[in-house]
Amino acid sequence: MLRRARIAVQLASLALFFYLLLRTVGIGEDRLGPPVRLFLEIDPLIAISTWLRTGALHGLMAISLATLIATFFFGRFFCSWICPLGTLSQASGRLLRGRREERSAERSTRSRRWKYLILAFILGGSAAGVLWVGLLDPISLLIRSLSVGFGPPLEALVRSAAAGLAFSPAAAVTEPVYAWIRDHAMAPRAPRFEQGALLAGILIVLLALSWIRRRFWCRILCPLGALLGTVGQAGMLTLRQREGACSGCEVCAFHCQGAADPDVAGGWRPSECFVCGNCTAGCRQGSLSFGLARPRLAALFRRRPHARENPPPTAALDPGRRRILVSFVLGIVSGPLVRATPSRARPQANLIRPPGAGSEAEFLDRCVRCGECMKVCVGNGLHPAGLEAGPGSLWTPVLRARIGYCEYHCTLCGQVCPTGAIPTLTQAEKEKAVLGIAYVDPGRCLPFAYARPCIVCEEHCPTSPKAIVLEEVAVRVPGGGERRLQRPQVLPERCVGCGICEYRCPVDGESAIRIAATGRTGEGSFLPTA
Amino acid sequence: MDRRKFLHRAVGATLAGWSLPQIAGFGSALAADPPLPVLAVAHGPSPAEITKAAIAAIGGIDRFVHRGDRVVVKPNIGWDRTPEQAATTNPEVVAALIRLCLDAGAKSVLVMDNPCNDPRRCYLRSGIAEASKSAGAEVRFFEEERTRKMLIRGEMLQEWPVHPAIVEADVRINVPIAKHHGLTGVTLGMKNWLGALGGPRNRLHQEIDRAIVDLASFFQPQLTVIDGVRVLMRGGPQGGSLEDVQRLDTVIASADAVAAERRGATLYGRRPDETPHIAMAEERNLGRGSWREEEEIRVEVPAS
Repeated sequence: MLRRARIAVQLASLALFFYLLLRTVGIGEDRLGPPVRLFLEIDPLIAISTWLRTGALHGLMAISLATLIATFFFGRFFCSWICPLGTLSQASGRLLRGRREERSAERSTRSRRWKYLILAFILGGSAAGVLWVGLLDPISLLIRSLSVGFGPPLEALVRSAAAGLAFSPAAAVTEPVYAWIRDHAMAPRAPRFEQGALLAGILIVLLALSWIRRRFWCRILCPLGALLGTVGQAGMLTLRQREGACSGCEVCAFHCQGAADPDVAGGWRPSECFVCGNCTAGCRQGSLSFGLARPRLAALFRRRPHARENPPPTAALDPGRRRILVSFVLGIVSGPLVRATPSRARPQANLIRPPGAGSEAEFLDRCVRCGECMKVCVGNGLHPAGLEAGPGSLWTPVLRARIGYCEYHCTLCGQVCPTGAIPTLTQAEKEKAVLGIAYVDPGRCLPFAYARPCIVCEEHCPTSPKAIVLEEVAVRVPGGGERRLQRPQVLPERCVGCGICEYRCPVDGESAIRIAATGRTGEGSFLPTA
Repeated sequence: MDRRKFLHRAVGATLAGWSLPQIAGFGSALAADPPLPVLAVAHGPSPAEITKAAIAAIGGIDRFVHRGDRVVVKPNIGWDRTPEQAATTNPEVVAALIRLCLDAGAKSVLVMDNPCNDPRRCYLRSGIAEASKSAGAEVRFFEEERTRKMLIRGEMLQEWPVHPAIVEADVRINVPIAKHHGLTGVTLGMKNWLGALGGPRNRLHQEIDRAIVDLASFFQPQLTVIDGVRVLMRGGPQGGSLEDVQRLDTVIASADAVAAERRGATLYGRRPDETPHIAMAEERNLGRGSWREEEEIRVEVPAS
């Protein structure tokens, strides 16, 4: 009963997750319809980490409190009922291992402790100034890898398959289906991302770990699982065994997703149990049932819990206080280490942040690197940063104006950002939001360097009046004679740094007009404002 | 063949060769069918009405669209702007044209363009997608992977990726909006064909005049309708400021793409020789050549 309900909810949740992910695209409207950041908003780890940095919860993030409260009552159900990465790990395990390998009971191993250490490190970092959470938070990680890694090749495949079938007899069916999918679930133009293959590879590796051990990610690595496990340990859910009914067949342990030792009397681990219901459904004696008991809050902090109770009600959460402390301290140390980067001291030209993103420090205090903004960016301008500004900004969004640009009237990135790192801007605010300032490279620019007409940058400049103006000049050409040319000149007080000029510049390789991250809203510029 | 027979035939052939055109010319003169006007300019407050009036004045849509034709209507949907900003073709003009085509028995009317900004925002905010759909046209997005490299055989453009739907249509109707442009001075019908191209279009700007004349001779629209309802006088081709927009309430329709281009340029007070691509197009005899401004038909459509 419980198991069936779990499977239904789990599949529905996975479907909802993919639906929301696919709908994270601009369809031409100013406002995005569906609540696409929902899964990030119910994630308490993101809420706690960003709250530690900013002292505030953005948007609907407060609803993640409900996840924590529910976990207090019903244990780590999130991992098997809701979490899409949990479901995918489970599926990949089933795919890679087959049924035969699951015929032996998997006991909880000490490696389960790793996730608590990861959690402590993340929280330590958050307290001391660096937001590590997004790198390993399951929701954030999954959205980033799917959007940036798997989305583009999949979209390209669908596009070219539809184009290939367009003149076949099947077109009568494929064309309308394709048009619907394209207009509702695909980017306006086929996107491509920096580091796409790397991010896809990371997800593949994490899912492939299920080969070694069932739900390797969830049992051993997931920091959100650790957080929920801790709450579950202190909470009220308990697994009851009818006295004397257990035949010791270990069927429940064979099927246990979390290696939570359901068959061990008094040894069941609330912090590892995903409440998948496999044990209660599988028990041939019908001896197992979930129930609610007195909260075990106090037990969490006792050195040897249950030592005096006989028999003990549950196994203890035993990540080791010293290890936890060391990990937490390492997290705290990582804060100043990572913050001591030149990019925090003065603007780094290639760190062009999304529109309205405030100062670099404010931005990094909020960004969880989930990649929602990259997914929704209609100009395919936002890409995951590399290590150019240190590990503290790895995979945070930057505008790569040679690959894409920021659509002047579009405000979608701010609408999908779960933490407010990119604020939700009104149309009028967006048109004033400065990402950087363009500068002309006369060594490459056609009218400057080769005395050829061009004006492509001026033509595309979206501000009104234009931030790129044309200066008419007459240049002498070899062999005598004069050529009249129009040369672009940037008026910095009008430029918002959207990057469409850099994107459209016809010069191969490095653009002849480029955006430098200066003068961005919330930060100063080397140019005094008029 | 003997000599006599040869002489008979030679004389007969000569006579026939001389007299047939004479008789034919005599016949058409007898039918009193005046040549259809090349170009009409309609003026009035309703964009839809002046569009209809201008086309009626050059012989009606039946002159261009026949029963069962697949028609492609190519507006300018290049930018993420509203109709008031006059960077994209007036949706009412486009819709009126589509209705005329469908009334004339067109099998299908396709509307598409390859915008510079996000195509979805452009299609939506220009109002063209909605107006076209409700007029009964199919609105399609331009997809790069659907383009085919085609032989343009121009002076500058030899081959370029072009969307086949635009080339394969039975009838091409070009519906640009008249705008100022930083490089070509004005942008009208000929430059509008850039929107039928894929590939690195930004490279064409280095020889833009020759490129757009190549395109005009490749696409050869049967009908050109220039939207001069709201005209962008400065800051083109993208505009943005309503101060740069002037209401002229004018639509120009012509069977001759070059004549339309010349007349369109006069909206800006420009002579054809001031606009290099028009002069080039005339040199290359793209139009009918003989058209002069005095021959235009003017129609005034008052508010009803």
